[in-house]
Amino acid sequence: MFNYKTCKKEGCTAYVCLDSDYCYRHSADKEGLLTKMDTIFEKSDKKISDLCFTHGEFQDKDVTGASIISCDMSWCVFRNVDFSQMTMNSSFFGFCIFQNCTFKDVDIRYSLFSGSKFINCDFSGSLLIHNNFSGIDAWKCDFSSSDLYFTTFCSSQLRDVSFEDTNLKKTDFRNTVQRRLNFKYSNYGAELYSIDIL
Amino acid sequence: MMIYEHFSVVGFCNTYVIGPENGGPAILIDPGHVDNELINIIEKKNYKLDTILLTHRHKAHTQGVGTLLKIYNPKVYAYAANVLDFKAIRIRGNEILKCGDIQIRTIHVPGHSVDSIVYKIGQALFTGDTLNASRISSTIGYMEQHILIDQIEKKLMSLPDNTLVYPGHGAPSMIGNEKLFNPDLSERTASKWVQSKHHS
Repeated sequence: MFNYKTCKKEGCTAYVCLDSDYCYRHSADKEGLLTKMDTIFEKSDKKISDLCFTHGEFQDKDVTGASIISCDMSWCVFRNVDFSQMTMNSSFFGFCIFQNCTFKDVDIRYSLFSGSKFINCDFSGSLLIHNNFSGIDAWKCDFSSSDLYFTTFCSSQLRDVSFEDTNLKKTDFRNTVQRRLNFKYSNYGAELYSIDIL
Repeated sequence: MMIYEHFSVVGFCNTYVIGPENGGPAILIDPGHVDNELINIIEKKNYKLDTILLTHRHKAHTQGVGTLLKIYNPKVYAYAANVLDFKAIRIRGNEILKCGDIQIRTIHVPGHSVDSIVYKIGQALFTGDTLNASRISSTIGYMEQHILIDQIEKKLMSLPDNTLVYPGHGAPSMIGNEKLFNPDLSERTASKWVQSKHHS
């Protein structure tokens, strides 16, 4: 699990970055932290676990086949990052920006993307089970041929998003703004409006 | 401290194993069902199951207790004295429990059931069937729903925004995200705001 220590800067509640005493925003050595993070991304085994790195910016990275476990990368910006065939578990990516990112054939479980912005991102052919996409703003995204079992999109803005041939069992779309969505061949209607088992 | 999730295919509930990084006494929350996968989490991490915490007595969250008591010798904590014929150590909320070096704070949040307990371990909150990602749990009536929302607002929403929420069903969340995106809570906040404007 990532470090639960909060930033030493008075009033800041963000978790500390890597092994520093401060979060990225309040760290004196932002460049050093980014270099460390680049090294972690470029590791040959691509196993990234138990780390916290918030507010960072990453561009043109290839993390295909990576394994991300118990990480907190909230408030980060990812542009042209290829996450294809990645596995992710118990990770927190709240309030991030993902632009032109590829998540093809990923296996993401028990993770949080709440409050994030997704622009032109491809999640097709993925397992996205037990994830929190509440309050996201998605534009031109593709969730086709994916399994979204027990994933929530509550209070989200979804525009030009495709859910073609997608498993939407227990997927929650309450309170969403929906524009030009495609639910062709998906089990839209089997999504969660009441959970009798709870 | 490490947190491992396990999805119980009986009752579709989340079970959590919490323990130190390098093995030792561990906590298990809501054993809805025991299977090889769950036993592997405990054994591969060299954990000694010391404590079982039950968020409430519904079967979907407790059916694995019997099997675990046959294998290990854990203390079982719950609000109710008896859970499926097993004796539990009663808790009432506002207690501090210990499992090795891990401290557990109990919070009583009735509404879904009278015996609903939320456990706060470090920065993580194990909410059982009280607060889920972007929804509150089901209740048997409007009065219970009112009580549940009231209790969540008083006891959980007062915690820091970066508190992690691990519910009994579905995806994880954070208190700050629930404040912003949970329609069940925001509807109430909005109506309170309208009321306050009306009275002023």
